[in-house]
Amino acid sequence: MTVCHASTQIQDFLDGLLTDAERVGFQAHLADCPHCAADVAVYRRVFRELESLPLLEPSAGLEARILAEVLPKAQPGWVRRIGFAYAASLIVTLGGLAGAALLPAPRAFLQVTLAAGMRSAVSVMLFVFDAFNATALRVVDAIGALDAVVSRLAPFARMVAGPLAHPAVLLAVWGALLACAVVLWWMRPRDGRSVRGIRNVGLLGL
Amino acid sequence: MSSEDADLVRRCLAGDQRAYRDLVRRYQRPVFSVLMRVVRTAEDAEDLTQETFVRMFRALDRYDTERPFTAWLFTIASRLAIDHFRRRRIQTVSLTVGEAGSSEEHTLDVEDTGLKPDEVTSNAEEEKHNQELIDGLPEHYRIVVLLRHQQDLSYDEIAEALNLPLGTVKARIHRARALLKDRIGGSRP
Repeated sequence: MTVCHASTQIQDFLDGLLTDAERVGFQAHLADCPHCAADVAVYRRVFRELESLPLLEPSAGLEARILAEVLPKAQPGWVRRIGFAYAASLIVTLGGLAGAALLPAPRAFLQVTLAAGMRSAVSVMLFVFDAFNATALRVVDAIGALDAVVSRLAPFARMVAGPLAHPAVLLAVWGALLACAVVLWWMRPRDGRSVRGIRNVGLLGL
Repeated sequence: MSSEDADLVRRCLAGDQRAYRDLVRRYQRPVFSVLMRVVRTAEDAEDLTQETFVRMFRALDRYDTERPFTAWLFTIASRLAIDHFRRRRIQTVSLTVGEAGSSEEHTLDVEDTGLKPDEVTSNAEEEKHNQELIDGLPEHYRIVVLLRHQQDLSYDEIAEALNLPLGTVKARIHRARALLKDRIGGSRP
């Protein structure tokens, strides 16, 4: 088989990679070399075949699979519904409070309601505190042997009970106790939490 | 990068989910087509296409917008295809021997006893002809020829995508075309 020395330029010629001078020279060579001219014709067909390869169609679900991987995960429907319900409730509540604060009649009603609510809350707390005290005293009375201790502590108890009888002090004390309880509950041992940290913060809460 | 690609990339980076969808719709067929013709099974080609897009979106914030988007996307796809072949090296059907000190390669063709594609085409005869044309090439020739002729990547872009010397890429493409020329036109006596 005879190979023309210029045949090595065929693909560069078809790729458009020859310089102007090389291209003109090769075109002149093609006119005189039937072997290279025939090869160029076949190579052109190869190029056409490759460039006319049709795009293949993936399965219909591929796009959804890709997007499911790359798009941020959508929240479940129930989370969105709760969110909307919360937002609606907040708007209604804020609207009601604004109306109650701005309109004369609702404002008066609100004040009366708040006052009544506060009185009820304080009354309930006093009742609970009295009941606790009474129970404790009855237990101590039942024991009897502690009378002497109680009598010695009576002045201190009166000193403490005096301020505690005031509703505002009582409310503050119960509030503080409640806050401590909440803090202690929140700091309960859980996975991944430092036991040392929990103990220290728990003591601080107490 | 085309202005349309640039706009899609910018919108994706801004979190526009419609742009994600548009980018996938725009490029899933070209990526799948190349991978399908390289790996030759629809299931593997779809898995690799999916992984290509996943990696592309994850790296989108690091994408250099001065580079052609297509070249970057096919860099990811090509490297995944090469990894795929490395994992399945035992099923390879061609042998390549490089001469010392030369980027030119010679290929020994051996009978392919693997599965033939029969899953994807709506025009079975035409696709069979196309696939046979490509199937006749060794895998490392298939990928460079497809990137050159189906995706219109330059030699430089292919070399960068495949992390190969420019001379090797050029030699492979020339050799692949010569094999196809012989197949289509018959060897000249």
